[in-house]
Amino acid sequence: MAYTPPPGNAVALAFAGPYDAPHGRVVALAMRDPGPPLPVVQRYVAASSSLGWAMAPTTRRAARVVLVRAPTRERSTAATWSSAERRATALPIGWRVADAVQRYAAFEWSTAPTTQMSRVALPWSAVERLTRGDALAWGRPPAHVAAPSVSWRAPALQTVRAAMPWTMPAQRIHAAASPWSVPAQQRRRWVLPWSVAPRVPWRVRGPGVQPPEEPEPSHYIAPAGNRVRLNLTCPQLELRGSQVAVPLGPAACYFAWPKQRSYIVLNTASVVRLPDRTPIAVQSIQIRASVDDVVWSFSLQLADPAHLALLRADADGPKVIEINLNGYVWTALVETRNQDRQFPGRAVSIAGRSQTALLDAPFAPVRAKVQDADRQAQQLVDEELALTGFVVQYDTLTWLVPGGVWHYDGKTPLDAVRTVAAAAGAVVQSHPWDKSIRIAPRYPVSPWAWTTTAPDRQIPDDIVLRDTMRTASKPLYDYVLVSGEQVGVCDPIIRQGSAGEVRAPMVVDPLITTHPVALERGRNVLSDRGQQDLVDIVIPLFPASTPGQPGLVLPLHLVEVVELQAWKALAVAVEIHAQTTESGALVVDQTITMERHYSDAN
Amino acid sequence: MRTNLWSDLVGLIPAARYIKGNVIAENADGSYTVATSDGATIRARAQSEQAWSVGMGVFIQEARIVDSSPNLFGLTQFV
Repeated sequence: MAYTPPPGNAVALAFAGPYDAPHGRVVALAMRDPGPPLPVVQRYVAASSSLGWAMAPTTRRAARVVLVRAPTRERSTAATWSSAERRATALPIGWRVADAVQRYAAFEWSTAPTTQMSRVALPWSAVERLTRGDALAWGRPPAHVAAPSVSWRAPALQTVRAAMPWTMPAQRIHAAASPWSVPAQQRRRWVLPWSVAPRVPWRVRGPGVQPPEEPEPSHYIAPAGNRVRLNLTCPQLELRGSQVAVPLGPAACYFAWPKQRSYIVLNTASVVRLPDRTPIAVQSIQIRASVDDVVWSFSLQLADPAHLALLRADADGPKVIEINLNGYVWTALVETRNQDRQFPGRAVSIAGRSQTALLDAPFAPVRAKVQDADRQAQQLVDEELALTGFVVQYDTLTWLVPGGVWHYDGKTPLDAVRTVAAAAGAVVQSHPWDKSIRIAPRYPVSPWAWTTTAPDRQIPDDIVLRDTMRTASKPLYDYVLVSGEQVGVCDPIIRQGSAGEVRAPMVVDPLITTHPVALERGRNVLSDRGQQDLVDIVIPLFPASTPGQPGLVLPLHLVEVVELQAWKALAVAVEIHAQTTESGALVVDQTITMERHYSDAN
Repeated sequence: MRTNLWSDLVGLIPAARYIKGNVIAENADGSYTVATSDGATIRARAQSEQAWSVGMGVFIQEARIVDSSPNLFGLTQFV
């Protein structure tokens, strides 16, 4: 029921029950809810009844069924079978070759006479249909029987029998009888009398035996005074001109080289993930560097496949690992992860490059640049590495590059650094573990000066596990023209003492702007000439703390191999291989690829 | 890691040589005879709508005259 407010400030109260108005101006309001209605009392009458329960009487009823065999009834349908009467119906159809029927219709060809017809107007109407048919009687040609005259018959059976008598060869018996008998027993008895041996006579003969003279000690004994003893019994090197080779160094004479009976190398290897140094279990490690590649390349086979998840790249970029082999440290970016799962095993491996790869694709974008101001070549390199966190060790020539000469489009920072270095015939090498690059000449020392240059490493042939060689000869160039493009110089570079007739391909580089850089570029071009071999030798990677042994050999090291006739070569590549054998032993060796020159060196 | 195999393959191919020389003759077939700065003689064709006269310095790349070359100062050096 809708409430309708009365006018004014009055409130209409609707009381449902009877209202007893109190006295005065008091209004009684029943504000309490009425109590719940009392339940209606219901009365029930309980009555019980019982029925007797007992077993019903059993009623039995039997039915007898008699099984008898039903009478057999046979019903058959007999149809008499006999041979039908033969009925022969022959329809002879004669076959023969029909007579040829030829019919010619010849019409004489001539010029029809001209018919002069007057114009006749014919009314247009439907032309009456004319039906004309040519009926040819169809009939069966007369039969022509042509019997084939080739009689078929079977050839007369001819039997050819070849009889070869079969007989048993005459049995021949050869018997060799050797009489068997028991040889006469022979006995031989030695009777050695046992007794006390006589005493050995002790005699003194002559004045006495002169013992040989004591050999001189092999080590160097300095003579008195300020003199120097020269061991000139060693094979002499034939040097050009009036030079005389003085074997003063430890490797100057092969025979004087201290040779150990055995070499013991205690190999150690560890791989951790940076920066938290989480250990990574590996089974084999392969590390490679060369003069033609800026970065170090790494390939590791993991021993625990579960560690592959630790090396997955995340939002911070690729993971960095640290490799320590016999005290030498490398750091590498994990760029690829490979898995080969095949029942019942699972092989996982990773590969990557040194951190210098951050300056190259795909980590660094390509850029374009024009340098309008004059700069030194080293400054151009520094500008490329600015704000990258990398530093450069500049070990080659620097020269002035005028403004406007240095410009490029589409180069990464590493490409740009390589271009500047290549102008001077230099290469870029990456630091093994630090964010640093080194720019050094492709030939730090020209091959014709190797014989008079102290080597960076000496390798005795005792520790060489294996060496291989392949020829890599080139023409014996003695002239090269090195030129700039629009600015710079154009200098012929000639090998000293030669006629300059065997010319190497011309070098045109926009950064050849001064004579010194042209000379340095030409020197590196002419260094790569003549008869050469690439020699690979495998030696153990001796720990860094082992004195007197060649440790890690880096590309661009001048290496002297000490054998009967020592020779020097330039290391151009190195590959370190660490492998855990089945017995659990760790083997670490390095393969050094060296460039040996015969035309300009020994 | 590079994923463009084509760029990797092309990167292995050395860049065409840049040869410097002077035009010494203009041939009937439109090509030019150029004497290179290191003494050789080669033939090259000009690019479209370009013409060169005898005596001009040029740069040649892949048998094409690609640019003009100035006369740079030369100094014979020995190593």
